[in-house]
Order: sequence, then C-alpha cells, then structure tokens
Amino acid sequence: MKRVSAQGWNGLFAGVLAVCVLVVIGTGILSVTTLIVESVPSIRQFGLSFLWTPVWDPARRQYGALPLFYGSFLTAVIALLLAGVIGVTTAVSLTQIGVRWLRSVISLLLEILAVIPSVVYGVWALLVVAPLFGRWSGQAGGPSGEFAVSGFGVLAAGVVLGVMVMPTVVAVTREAIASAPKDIAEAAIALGATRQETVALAVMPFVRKGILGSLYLGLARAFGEAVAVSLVIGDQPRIGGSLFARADSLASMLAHTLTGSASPLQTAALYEIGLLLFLITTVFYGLGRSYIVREAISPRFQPW
Amino acid sequence: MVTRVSYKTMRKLKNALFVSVLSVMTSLAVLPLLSLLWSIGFHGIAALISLSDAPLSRGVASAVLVNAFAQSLVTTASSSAIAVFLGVAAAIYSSQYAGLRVGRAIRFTVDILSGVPSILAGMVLFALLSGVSSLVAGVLALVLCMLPVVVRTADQVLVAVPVAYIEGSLALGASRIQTIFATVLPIAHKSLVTALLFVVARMAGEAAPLLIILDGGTASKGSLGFQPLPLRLYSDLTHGGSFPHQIAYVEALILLVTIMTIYGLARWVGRPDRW
Amino acid sequence: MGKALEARAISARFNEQVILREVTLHMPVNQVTAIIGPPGCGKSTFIRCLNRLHETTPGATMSGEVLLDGHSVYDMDPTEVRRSVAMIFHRPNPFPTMSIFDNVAAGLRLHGLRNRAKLAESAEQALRRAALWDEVKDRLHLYSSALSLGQQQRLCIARALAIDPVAVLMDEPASTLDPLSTLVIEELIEELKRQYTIVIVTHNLQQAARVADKTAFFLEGEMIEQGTTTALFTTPQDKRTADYVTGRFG
Ligand SMILES: Nc1ncnc2c1ncn2[C@@H]1O[C@H](COP(=O)(O)OP(=O)(O)OP(=O)(O)O)[C@@H](O)[C@H]1O
Ligand SMILES: [Mg+2]
Repeated sequence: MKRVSAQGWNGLFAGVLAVCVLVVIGTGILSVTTLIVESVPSIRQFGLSFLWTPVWDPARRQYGALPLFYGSFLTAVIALLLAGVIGVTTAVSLTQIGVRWLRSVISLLLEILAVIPSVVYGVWALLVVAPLFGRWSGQAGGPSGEFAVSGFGVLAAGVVLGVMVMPTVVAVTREAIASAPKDIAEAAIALGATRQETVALAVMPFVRKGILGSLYLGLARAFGEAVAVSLVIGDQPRIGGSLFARADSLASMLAHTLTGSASPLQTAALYEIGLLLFLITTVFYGLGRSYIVREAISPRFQPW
Repeated sequence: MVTRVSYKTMRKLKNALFVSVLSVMTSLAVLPLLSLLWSIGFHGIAALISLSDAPLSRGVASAVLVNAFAQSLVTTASSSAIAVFLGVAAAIYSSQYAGLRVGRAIRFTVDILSGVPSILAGMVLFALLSGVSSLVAGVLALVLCMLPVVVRTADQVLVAVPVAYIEGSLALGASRIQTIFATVLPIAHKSLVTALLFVVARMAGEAAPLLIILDGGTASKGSLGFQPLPLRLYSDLTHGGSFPHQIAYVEALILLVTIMTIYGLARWVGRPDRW
Repeated sequence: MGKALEARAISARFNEQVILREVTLHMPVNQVTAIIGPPGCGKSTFIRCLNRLHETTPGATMSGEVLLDGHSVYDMDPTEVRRSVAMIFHRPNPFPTMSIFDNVAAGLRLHGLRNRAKLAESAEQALRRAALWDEVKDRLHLYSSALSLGQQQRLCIARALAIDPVAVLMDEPASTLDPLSTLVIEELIEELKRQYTIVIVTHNLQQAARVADKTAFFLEGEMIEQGTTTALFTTPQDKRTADYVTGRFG
C-alpha cells in the first residue's frame, strides 16, 4: 500500500517536471510560429525578392532586407576581425604566458566585460567610440562629456560589437586550449621548443575547431545585438559608402522602428526581418555549438 | 656554426616577438573595459554631483531613478522567479529522469533556443499580448529570454553531480524524489545558485526584449511611465536633450553597479572552498 | 658520447607543497640510473627538474643545482638544456597531427635543419637507433597513430634521439606497454647506454634490476638510498629500502 503511493508520488513528480520541459520547448515553438504568422502579409506581398530588394523605404511602402543584411554583415565582420584577432591572442596569453595573478585579473576583467548590459555599452559607444570616429572622419565631435553628434556608422557599430563579442571568443578559445592534450605540448617543450614553437606545433592544431566555434558564436551574437548597435550605427538602411557611412542592421532596425511602425505591412516586414534574424543566428549558433564539445562544466561563467 | 648561432638568435627573437604581441593584444582586450568603467564612472559621478546641486532637478531625477530602479527590481525578480522555477524543474527532468535520447533532444533544443537574440522575445510578446498590461508582457518577455539559458545552465550543473552519489542514495532505498531533494540538490545547490545568479546578472540589464513592448518612445522626458532601468536608459539615450543626458550617466552608473553587484554575489557564492 | 648529470640538493615545490627535499644524486656517463619508489614520491618531479621541464608547470618552483658535464643547467638557455637532455614520457606522445617522418624530423626542424636530404638521413639514423626503422621504413608518411603503442613509444625515442642529446630521461617508458614491447624497450636501453647517460624512472623492480647499473630509492620526496643496483637490491643499508625492494612496503 505504502509502496504504491510512493511510486504514485514519483510518477506525479516526474509528470510535473515533464510538463515544465514541454512548457520550455513550447515557448520556443510558440516564438517561431508567432514570427512566421506575423510575417505572412510581408511574405505574401514581396515573396523571395524581399531578400534581395535593396530598398527599405516606408514612405514608398517598399521593404527589402538587403540594406539590413549589408549593415548586419559588415558590422559583424568588423566585430569578428577585431574580436577574433584580439580574442584568440588573448586566450593564448592567458594560458601560455605571464604570471598567474595577472592572468586571473585579466580573466576577471573579461568576464565583467561579458556581463555588462548592452545598453551600458551603448552609453560608452556614444560617449567614447562615436566621438573618436567622428574626429577621425573629420566631422565635428561635439563637446566632450556629451553624447556624440557624429561618428555614427558601420565602423563604430562594428567596433562596439567587437568588444561585446570578444569575451565569448576568449572564453571558448581558452577552454579549447585548456583541453588540448598537455602531454603533446610537453613533448614539444622537451624537444627544446620555445613557447611560440610549442604553441604553433603542439597547441594550435588542437584548438582550430574551438576557435572556429567561438567565431560562429560571436557571429550569432553580433547579428542578434540590437540595443548597442542601434545607438551608433546611424539608423539609415542604406548600402554602400565608406566604413564611416551610416547604415542599419537587422536587429537594430527592429529595435528602433517596430513600435513606431506606420502600417501593418511595415510591421509584417519587420517580423519577417525578425524571422530571418532568428534563422541566421540559429544557424551560426548551432554551428558554433557543434564545434564545441559540450562538457559537464561546473558553473563557469558562460558568456555565450 | 655562424648560421647556427644566428638561427638560435632568430628563434629567440621570434619568441620574444610572440610574447610581446600577445601582451599588446591582451592589453588591447582589457582597454575597452577600462575605458568603459572610467568614462561611465567619471561622467556618472559628475552628473550625480551636478544633479544634486540643483534642488529642482534633484527632485525630478531622484523620482525618475527610484521609479526606474523599483520597476527593474520588480520585473527582474518576478521574471527570474518564474524562469528559475520552470527552468530548474525542466533541468531536473532532463538530468535525472530523461533517458539518453530524450535528454539529448531536450539539451539540443534548449541550446538552440538560448542562442536566440533577446529582441525577438520582445517581438513575440508584442504580437501575442499587445493589449495586455505592459508589465505582464515585459515580465513574460524576460522569462522567454531566460528560460532556455536557465535550463541549460541548471542541467549542466545537475549533470555534473557524480552518478555514484545518486546510485548510492537509490541503493539505500531512497525514492527518486528523496534522492533529488536529499542528495542531488544539496550537492549541487552552491553551483546552481552561482550559475543562476550569472544568468540573472545578464538578464537584469537586458533592454532589448522590453524595448518593443514597453515602448521607449511613449514615456518622454521626466515622466514616470512603466520603464525599468535599462529601458529608461535606452529611451534617454535615443530621445536626447540636456536633462536626460545628465540622468543617463547616472542611470548607466547605477545599472553598472547593480549588475556588478549581482555578478560579485555570484562569484562570492561560487567561491572555491578553503580548508 | 654522453655527459654526466648531477643533481645537487634539489628541492621542488608545487605552490606551497614541498615535493622534493634536497635530493643529491650523481648519474654517471654511459650508465643507466634507475629511480624507484612508491607512487607520488616525486620521481617524475625529480627527472623533470633535470631538463628544466618542471618549471614549465604552473605553480612549480625548484631550488638547488643540476650539473650537466659540470655546467649548471639553470645557467643555460632552457631550450638548449632540453635539447641536450632528452625526455621520454610514460605515455607515448607522438604528435598526432604529424606523419611518422615529421615526428622524427620535428626536433631537427625546430633547431634549424631544413635540408631535405639531411633530414631524411638523420631521421633514418634516429629510427634505426630506436630499433624502429625496419618496421616503418615503408610507411613514413602515415600518421603516427597508425603505429602500435610500443612502436609509438619507440617513435618518441627516435624523435628524442634525432637531435643528438647527451642524456636521455625516461619516465616509466614501458608502463603502458605490453610485455613484449617492454622487452624491446629494455633491450633498446641496454643498447643506448653506450652513447648516452640514461636515467629511468620505473615502478617495476625487476626492470630496474635488469637494466640499471645504479639505482636510487625515493620516498616521500627524499632520496633514501643510492648505490649500484646489485648492492641496493641485495644489501640495502636502510630499512625502508629493504622493505620496499623485498615488497614488504606499507
Ligand atoms: N602539476 C601538479 N600540481 C600539483 N601537484 C602535483 C603536480 N604534479 C604532481 N604533483 C604532486 O607531486 C607529488 C609527486 O608527484 P610525481 O609525479 O613526481 O610522483 P611520482 O613519484 O612520479 O609518482 P608516480 O609513480 O605515480 O608517477 C604528488 O604528490 C603529486 O600529487
Ligand atoms: Mg611519475
């Protein structure tokens, strides 16, 4: 009698937990469905040509995603170049050179970098980054201590994104380096290799996948970042011009126009942008995760 | 002999170059953070002083700040509570009950969902609940963002509990539930709290999912519409002007300090044991 | 021709933990010196001090002197020390991303040899000395993982010998190998000692008795006793040594 009821409780408990799992998965399905349903008018209206129409002009009721792809892609590439070069080398430093206390201080700083909200990055971008580029591009900078009035554009957004993505690259790459076989590295050292030779010969060959994975994760994050980008990219869905030219990205467009959308068609077009953003980030994120061996890690901070 | 010596020197030079390039790059990596902390700290404190000097602006500013902070507290706390409850329950299922295949499927789904940009959560709730109170929609949007991340981290922590303990408990005749509450959770609780605090720290500063629902535009300067801190900050940044521009620094500073406090708390809870 | 190694009052630590206490040991030219002792007593740490590998581990520090042919290795360039004092690890660790040939050539290339004909010649010579040439000469361009574990260990020996060391340190070189491969390695050691000073760490007392001319017994970070292998095994001076070599330890 008692036994049966204990089993009953167990079953009930497991059932409740399973319902929670279904809720979690259900939210995902609901999200995707909502994005699809809401973008139907736009899909009907523009069909596939939405993807390559180079105009986004609410005044003419013309909506094409190409200018936004352009902005997203360009800012993400700038971000990844920065974060890739600086992030990977930093990860190597943190595992290969320097004194231990300095390494842990730097790791801590990078973790903090990952936890700072994107809107705070936005303040920094307006305060420091955009004025810097404003000065470089020869425009007036505005009085110091006030927000930028110039310097908005692809480059500024890319740099800010680069800083935001870097902790991810560092963390993933460092994890990959840490799990590279120690005995192989020691074999190189024991042959008289210098640090640099050891890294090149016996560490890097094992880290390539991890680096690739970190870059894909960074790409996903760069594409998905709305708030900080929308503050400095310039909010103008245009293609071309210099790196200092204003542009707009997929996520940034969503951030600053959805609530002020003038027509149902524009709203639908924006939802289609959202759907595309979902697909792109999911592909990049999935690719990234597939390169990173999932381990049961103790609660390390994971910035991705 | 001559060539060998010069080759050795070259190797050494190469290594020295390697080390210096790494050091330079590492400094470049931390430079933005220092610049960010400095600029926000400096301007934030300066703005705080100048705001408190003028009695009139002080009153408005503190009303705005207190309001935004309180609303942040409410939204973050309630969304975290929901997400943690649901998410940890789901993670207990995936780590303790699910078989290999089901577990893998859950993990895969949750992994993918946790990579979805947070602004999309706002869009989804905007579409689904446009008539409903913005507080509810905002909280649910945050839940939508947090949930997959909570499940993923909690699952990682729970899976890390050594099977031997679980089997030991079961072998002693404990039921599954007893094992979970008397063995698994007590072993994992510290790591679990740490991991969850990291997630909360990240979500407390999220503006993107709120920004579409709680339209940043409608609450104009100085008004006390429903605007949690990150969102308030975003709208102050986009609807510039000289007063909000002062207050934006203060808001950024408060947000930064709050997030770092949660982060610090997480590190403190998860500090390695000493003995 | 080998060169003698001499450790003088070596102490080693990991962080605060003292692993070795004032170990002094002479390792004569063209002899095999065996280091024996229970697990965790610091044998590996000791030989890793000899080629300055110990200091590359995070948190590791050491004091004392190691003399190679009378010159302190801690005054020399560490890469040169490691080039002269080769090391074989307890688990075969060929570079898995390289071919058999590239593995043997790796050290030579590091130290500046680029000429292909010379590389090939030195590699063949090293593989012969490691008694591996006949087994691999037709598949030099396969990945090293194509070899058996025993062959991989001999590949590591060839890789180490290719750069002309004067001493070879071996950390339980046969502990992961089957009996036959172990036998091959032991014969190889016998052969190699004509040209090199050899220091071998082993858990296997019979192995020490078979290959070593001189043996040192370590216990809890201290060198308890040293002497000719025969003397140490038959007439140990210290009771702890006696207990260990007769298997009554613990
Ligand atoms: N990287 C390390 N960090 C901290 N302590 C270490 C490290 N490597 C070894 N130790 C400690 O140093 C002590 C001696 O280790 P060592 O490897 O020298 O022993 P050993 O005699 O070679 O043992 P075995 O026979 O098992 O190989 C051990 O107590 C070990 O726990
Ligand atoms: Mg050992």
